Amino acid sequence: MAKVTLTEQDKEQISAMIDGEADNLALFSSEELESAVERYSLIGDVIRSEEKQFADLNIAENVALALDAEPVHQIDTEIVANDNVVHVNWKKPFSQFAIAASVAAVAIFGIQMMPTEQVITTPEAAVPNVETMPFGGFATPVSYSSEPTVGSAQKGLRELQEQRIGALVLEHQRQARLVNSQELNKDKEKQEINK
Amino acid sequence: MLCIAPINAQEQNAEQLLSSMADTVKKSNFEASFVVAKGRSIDPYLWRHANVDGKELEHLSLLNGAGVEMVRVDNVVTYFEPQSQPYSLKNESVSGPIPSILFSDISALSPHYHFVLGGKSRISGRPAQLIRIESKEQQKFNYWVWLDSESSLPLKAAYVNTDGEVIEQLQLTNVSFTPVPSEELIAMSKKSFPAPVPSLKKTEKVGGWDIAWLPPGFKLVKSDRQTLSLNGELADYYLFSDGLVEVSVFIQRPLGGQQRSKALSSGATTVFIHQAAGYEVSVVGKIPAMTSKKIAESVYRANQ
Repeated sequence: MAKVTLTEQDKEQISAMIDGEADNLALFSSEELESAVERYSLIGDVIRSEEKQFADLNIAENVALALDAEPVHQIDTEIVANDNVVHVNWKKPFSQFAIAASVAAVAIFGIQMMPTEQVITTPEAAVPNVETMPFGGFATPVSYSSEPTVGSAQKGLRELQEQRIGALVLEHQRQARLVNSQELNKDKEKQEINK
Repeated sequence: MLCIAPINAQEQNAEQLLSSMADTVKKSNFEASFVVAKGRSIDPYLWRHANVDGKELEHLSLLNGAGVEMVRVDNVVTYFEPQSQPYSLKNESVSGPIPSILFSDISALSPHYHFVLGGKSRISGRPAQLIRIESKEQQKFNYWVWLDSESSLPLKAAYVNTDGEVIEQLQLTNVSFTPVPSEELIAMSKKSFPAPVPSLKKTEKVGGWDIAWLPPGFKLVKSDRQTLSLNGELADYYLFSDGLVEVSVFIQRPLGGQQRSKALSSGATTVFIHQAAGYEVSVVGKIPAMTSKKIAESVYRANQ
């Protein structure tokens, strides 16, 4: 495989969009988003044509269920009082569509890829123009962009895409925690078998 | 552990140093500050650890923005995040910026990584020894760790590409060891935490998709259909791990419009979104962009 790496120039052009400051996080209008989500839901699972048995493992739901049974914890205020860490009330649910701080801390730059067909045939040209991509929904002037002025429909789509990326990164982080946990349990099982 | 004849004394030495690091962290009472630099962004963290009556207490806190708090009492880690209720998992290390494997049995990495002793340097005002965890394959990042020559504590760590360029790095700015455990940490550990969520059962594999290519060493950890918590979208989900890094593959319906495939990255974390015919494949993980691209493009509908 041809080795393709980012050029120095690409790197210089990388622009971090978000520094993780909560103040800077523009919360998506939940009404707007809901209607958009609804619209996209209507498209249906066209791509999944066949009936499948999916493993019943919805992390968020399982976690929520497990937590429902839990007593209310006071750690939020205590931690804050103790060490002056972050003044956040953990019990208070944030807007569901707020980009997670952990995600927001993920300052993201974009590399606009060539159309897929071309990428396949000429992998060397696969990392052409780096495009700064506002991520997390707050208006940052795009310092330069290979795209023409975007219309509002495109802008809405772009926002949805950014939300999707945020959701994927957060999901990845959470799932990765479960991996480690699972591996631990596997190790324990092995040890017990060995005993 | 069985002693395998050392192929190379140096290699064994690097491994030993890494396990003494894990040992130091486990047994020490310390409070440290570190930053993680990804491109232009810097995330500061507070990291505290104590050993009380044979029990480990650990607290890792992201200090910017809304923050993330991870509290570990022995082998239960509780995650406090702004966008969800706190929850606990059984785990012997917190899932922080340093890969968890470094705090457990790193020999699990040896089929796919070399452990190499690097040079000595001065980090955070202390003499440090570099240990390079080098991927045997070109398609992955290497992980370098600088250990305090005295205490073995990690002073600096970095994801490095095959050209030796630092992609993302972590640097300790301050560390203080204390003979007695921190009172605050003890007090914190006495709070009540959510009961750990039951560990994952062996999940049924989600059918329908073939992921034809992954770098050597990556194994399927789980697959299922996910509802993404942030936006409620559905995704067929596959999670792979090579022990050091995790890679997620999401298959979703496209958002519509004229989307093009694109890559995004933040430090070592890459998101590659591949637009296939009728579906969208996203690959997320601490791997080079070209590797995520190759994985994403290898996803096909099965049996069709």
